[in-house]
Amino acid sequence: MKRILLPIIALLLVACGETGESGEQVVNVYSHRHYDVDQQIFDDFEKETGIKVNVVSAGADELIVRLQTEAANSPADLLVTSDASRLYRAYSEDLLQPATSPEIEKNVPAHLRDTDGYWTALTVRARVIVYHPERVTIDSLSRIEDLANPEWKGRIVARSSSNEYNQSLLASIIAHNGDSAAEAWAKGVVANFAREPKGNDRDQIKAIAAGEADLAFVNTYYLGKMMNSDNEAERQAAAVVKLLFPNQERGTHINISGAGVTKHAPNKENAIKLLEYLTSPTIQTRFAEANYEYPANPKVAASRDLESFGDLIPDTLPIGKLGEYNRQAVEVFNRAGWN
Amino acid sequence: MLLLLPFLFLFGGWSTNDPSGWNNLRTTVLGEYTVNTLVVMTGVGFLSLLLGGGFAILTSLYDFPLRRFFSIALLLPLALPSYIAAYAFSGFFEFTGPLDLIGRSIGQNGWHLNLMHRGGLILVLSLVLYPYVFATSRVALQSRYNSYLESARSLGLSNRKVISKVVLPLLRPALAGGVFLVIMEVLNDYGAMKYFGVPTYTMGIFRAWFAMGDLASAVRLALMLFALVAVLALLEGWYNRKNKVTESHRSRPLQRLKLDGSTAVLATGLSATLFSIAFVLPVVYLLWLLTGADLGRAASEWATLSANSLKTALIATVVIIGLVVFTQFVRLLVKTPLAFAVGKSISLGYSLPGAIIAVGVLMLSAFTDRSTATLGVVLSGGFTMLIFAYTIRFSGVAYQPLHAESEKRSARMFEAGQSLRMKPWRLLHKIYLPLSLPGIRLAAILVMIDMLKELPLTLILRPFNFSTLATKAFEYADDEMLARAALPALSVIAVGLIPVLLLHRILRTE
Repeated sequence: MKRILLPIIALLLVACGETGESGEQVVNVYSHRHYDVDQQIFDDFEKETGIKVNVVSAGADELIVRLQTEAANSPADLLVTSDASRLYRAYSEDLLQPATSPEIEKNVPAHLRDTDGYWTALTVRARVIVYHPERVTIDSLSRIEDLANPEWKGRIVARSSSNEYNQSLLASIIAHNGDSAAEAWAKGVVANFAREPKGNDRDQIKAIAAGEADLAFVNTYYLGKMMNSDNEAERQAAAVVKLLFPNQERGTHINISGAGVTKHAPNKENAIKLLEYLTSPTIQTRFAEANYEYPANPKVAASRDLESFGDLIPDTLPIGKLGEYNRQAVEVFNRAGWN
Repeated sequence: MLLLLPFLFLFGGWSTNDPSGWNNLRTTVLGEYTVNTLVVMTGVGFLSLLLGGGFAILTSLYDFPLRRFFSIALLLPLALPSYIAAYAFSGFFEFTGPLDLIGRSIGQNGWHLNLMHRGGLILVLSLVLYPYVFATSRVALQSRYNSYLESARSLGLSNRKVISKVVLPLLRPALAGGVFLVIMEVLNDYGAMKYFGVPTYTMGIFRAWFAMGDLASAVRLALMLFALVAVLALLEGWYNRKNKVTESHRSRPLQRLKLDGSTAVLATGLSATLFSIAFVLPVVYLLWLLTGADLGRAASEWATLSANSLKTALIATVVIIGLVVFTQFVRLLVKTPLAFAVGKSISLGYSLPGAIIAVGVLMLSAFTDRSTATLGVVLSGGFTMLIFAYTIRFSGVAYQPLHAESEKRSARMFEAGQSLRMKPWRLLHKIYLPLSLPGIRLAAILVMIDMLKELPLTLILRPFNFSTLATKAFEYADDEMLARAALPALSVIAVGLIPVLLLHRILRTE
C-alpha cells in the first residue's frame, strides 16, 4: 500500500506547490476585509491595469504576526485592516514603510492618513449609540460618557471587549479623558449591562428590538445592512431602533478600515497604484453603496441609508491614537470586568 | 522531531521582562477563564457521555423501529463545525429567528430564547460532539464483548443488571476515550465561545497575544491549557489500564433484544428527538436562510471552494496517516523508549489551539528561511507549510485509534514475524498494514472529518487566493452575513457526510 501511496503524495505535493509565473505583474495583499465587493474591485483592478491582485484574508492580528515572522521574506505588499489600531500596531512594529503619492493625498484628507505616509484610510466607520425611541428620552444622553450614569442600570447591551471596535472606542475615551476616567466609565457601563457581553453588532440591535435592553453601541453599517436584510423580521427589528451620533462637540468616535504598504514589499509601485485606485471616487462610491461605510474620499457622498441617519461630525483625534492606547484599553476592560 | 520544533519556538517566549500584562490578566480575568474552561469542559464531557453512551447502548443492544437508520443518523452531527452550530442554534431560537416568526404568524409573541450563555454553549457543543462517544462506544459494543453479554444473558440476568453489571464496566475505556476526544475539541474551540461571550483559556490566549501584543502571557496561558490536557491524557491512560478488558473472540453477531409496545415507541421517539435537534434543526435553519438570500461569491466560486476543501482534506489525511502508521510501526519494530516517546509526542499538537500552532509554524519557517536554505524552501509559505501544520495539529486524532489497534491486534503476530527474521518492509507490508487496516480506516475518517471543518490553520497559513468551504463560511459569518454563510456551511456538512457515512460502514463491519 505504501508503495502506491508515496508516489501519490509526491505528485500531489508537486501539483499543489505554487509556481508564480515570472514577469507577471502582481500585488500581494494581506487583508482583514473579506467582503465580496472587495474581491470584485480587485478583479476590476486587474482588468484595468493588468496587475493581478493576490489575496490572503484572515484576522488583522494574525496577519500582523504572519508579517512579523516572515520579516524580509514576506511576499506581502499591502496590509489591509478593518480597524485603525491594527494599522498602528503594524506601523509601530516596523512592518510598514512610507508610501504615498499626490493622487492618494488628493483622495484622502490628512486626518485620515498617517502624516508620514505609512498608511491611509479606505473607509470610515462611526460607532454610535442605538436606542429604543419609546423607552429612552435622549435629552439626558448626548455623550458616550453618559452611558455610565446609573439611570441606565440594566438597560445597556454590548458585545465582548475582544472585539476591536470596542477596544478602539475605549482607546478614544482614554485619549480624551485619561486612563482612570476611562476605567470609571467602563465600570459604570458594566454596572448598567442588561446581560453579559455576547454576540455581534446585529445581535445588540435585535436585543433592543426584543425588549431585552434599551441601548447599545454599534457600527453604522450593521444597521444599514439590517435595514436591507433578506429577512423581513430583521428589517423590522432595524426599524424599531433609532440612532444617535454621540459627542457632537468633540465629534463621534470613528474608526477606519485602511491599508499600508509593507516594509519589504516586493511590488511597492503596484501597491501604491492599488491604493490610488481604492481611494478614487469611482471605487469609493462602490464601497459606500455595497457596504454602507462612509467613504474616506470627501468627494463621494455616503449611501442614502447612511445619510438618513443624520450628519456625522467625526472625532478629529488623530486616528493613530486608537492604536497607541489599544493595549491600555484591553487592560482597562479586564479590570472593569467587561469580558 | 521536525514536528516538535514549532513548540520550541513557542515556549521560548515564556520568559519576559515586562510582567505588567501577566499581572493584569492574573488579577482580573484569569479566575473567570479558569472557571469557564473547567465548567464548559466538564459540562460538555458529561452531557456527551450521557447522550453518546446512552444512545450507543440503545442502538447496539436493543431492536426498535428505525434502529438501523438512527445508528447512522445519530453520527451525522459530527459533520457540523461547532462555530456553525453555534450560529445556527442561537439563530433558530433568537428574536427574528424562524421559531419567533412562526410564533408571530399565529399571533404569539415571545417565541424566542437566548442560548448565548454558558449553559447554552454546553448544550450546543454537546449536541455536535456527542457522536465521538457514540462512535467509540458502538465500536466497543459491536465487536468486542459479545460473548460476555451473551453469557450474562444466558445466566438469566435482567436487562438492567446486564447493563449495570456487564455493559457499563466493559464500556468504560471506550467511554473514556470518546469523552477525551470531546474534551480536546472543546478546549480547541474558539468561534462558538467567542460568539456566545464565554471567555476561556483559548480566548485568553488570543486576547493576550493579539489584542495586548503580549506573547509571554499568551504562552503562559497556552502552557496552562497544555498542562490541563496532559493531566487529562494521563488520567485517561491510567483509567483505561485499570479497566483493561480482555477481549472476547469475534463471535456471531449480537442478538438484539426486541423492544415492543410503549418501550419501542419511546426508544424511537428519543432517537428521533435527538436526531431532530442535533442535526435536522441546524440544517433546516441553514436551508431556511438560503431561501431568497443573495448568495454572493460563495455561489460562483462553489466548485473551487469544494475542490479546495476536498483536496486539502485528502492530502493531509494521506500524509498524517502515513506518518502515524510509520511511527507506530517503528515503535513496534525497535521498542526503545525513544521510539515510544516519538510515537506518543506526535499527538502533542492536538492539545493546542490551531492558531497557536499556526504561529509556531510561522516562526519555524521564518527561522529556517534565515538559516538553512533547503528546509526553508520546503516550509516557507504556500501549500506545503499548510499541510505541515495540519500534520502537527491532527496527528493526535489518528494516533488514538492506530495506537489502540497496533497494541491489541498486531503485537503478537509482529513478534512472530520478527522471530522468523522477516525483513522490516515485509513485516510492514505483510503483517502490520493488513492487521492495522481497521484502525487505519477509522483514523483516516476521523482526520478527514476534522480537516473539512478546520479553520484557524487554514486562515492564517493559507497561500494567496486560496479559500475552502470552511473559511468562506467563517468569513461571511464574521461579517455578520449569515445568509451568505449558509451555502458554504451546508456544503461543509454535505461533504462531511461522506466520511461520516464511511465511518458507519466501518462500525458495522468491525
